[in-house]
Amino acid sequence: MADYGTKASVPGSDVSTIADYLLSYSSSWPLLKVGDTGQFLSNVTHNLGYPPLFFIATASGQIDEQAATYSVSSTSLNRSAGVGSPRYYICRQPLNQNFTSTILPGSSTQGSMDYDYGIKVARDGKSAESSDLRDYALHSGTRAPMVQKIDNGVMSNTGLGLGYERIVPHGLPYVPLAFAFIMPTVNTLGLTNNEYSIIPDSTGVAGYYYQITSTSIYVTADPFFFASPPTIAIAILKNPYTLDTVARTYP
Amino acid sequence: MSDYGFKVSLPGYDVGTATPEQCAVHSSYPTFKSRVGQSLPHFATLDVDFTGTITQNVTQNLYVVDHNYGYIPFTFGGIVFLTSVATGSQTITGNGRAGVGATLEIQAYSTTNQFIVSIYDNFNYTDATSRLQVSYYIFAENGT
Repeated sequence: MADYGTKASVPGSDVSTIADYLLSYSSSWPLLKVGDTGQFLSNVTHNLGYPPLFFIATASGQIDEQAATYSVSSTSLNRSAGVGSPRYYICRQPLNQNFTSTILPGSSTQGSMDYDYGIKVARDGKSAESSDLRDYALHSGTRAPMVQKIDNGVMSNTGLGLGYERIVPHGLPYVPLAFAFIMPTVNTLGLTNNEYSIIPDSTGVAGYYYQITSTSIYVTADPFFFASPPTIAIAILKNPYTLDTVARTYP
Repeated sequence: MSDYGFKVSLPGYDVGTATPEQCAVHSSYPTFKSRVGQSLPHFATLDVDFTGTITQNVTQNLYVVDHNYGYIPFTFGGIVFLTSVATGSQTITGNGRAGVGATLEIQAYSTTNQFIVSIYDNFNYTDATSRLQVSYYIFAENGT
């Protein structure tokens, strides 16, 4: 690790002491960068040479973790079934190259918002005076997903959980946002073999799921559906799962 | 592609030759951006304390944020719902949507101007012993 670099905090946070998750960016870890987005009409060729992290959105803008019919290879984002033209995001973040960031525990105390200073980086061809946040690659008036860890490896046949397991410690002092992807070599669930599909979380899904805990990301899969242990890619973000709380009572 | 821009490489990489994957920031590749400093936050954890059984068979909005983007934005919405003791205190989870068949549906979704958390219950999953947490990010990027 070099002893130099750059970083910027969100407004109201002291960049020299604030915890890493309250930074806009740091040169010590990558932001989750969008390489391509659009509406899915047919398979999308990306030709990145690696399987990238991707998201599919529903018609209501939600991330679609049930989108098992979507998978990614080193050349394309593919759909084996389904209708409509959902939004896709292909990130410039390989799922098959391990990465672990440093952790800056720091302070979580934020001061009052002060917008008199900050950093804005406009996208190619866009104005740095734009009021449309989509025109910026980086804007310190926003929070952005930051990559803490990418872990790629084959599941172990432990006989625990559903049978196969992979447990990846995250090392963060909070429960982080994380996403998991599965690449089977053979399966009877309709997943595309030798490509990565997003894994749903635990409720109501047969065969495989993931959970995020205070210490690790846990993935399990059922040998009944996977004759050999699948490969798992996990993307852990430097963003707390539990944020400032908005309390409500109902009814 | 313009002949100017901004990039910050990761440790160990020459910024002059670093690929986008080797950069922390690259002006050709935007990140997902969620506004800070909003009166109702664009990233937060909604914590709903139910005071009793809710009206059954009707979709009810529990929380609404006016994002006013004028288009449907991309969102993360991590849902954790603890059902009533009467239905076994199950923990139901999901991202954007969580539910049990046709009997329970919790959604965290967007319209062109609002982010909404809603619930539909027709099996009394919800009473004073149940609790809902939704950790959400509303991004400026398009969701559709």
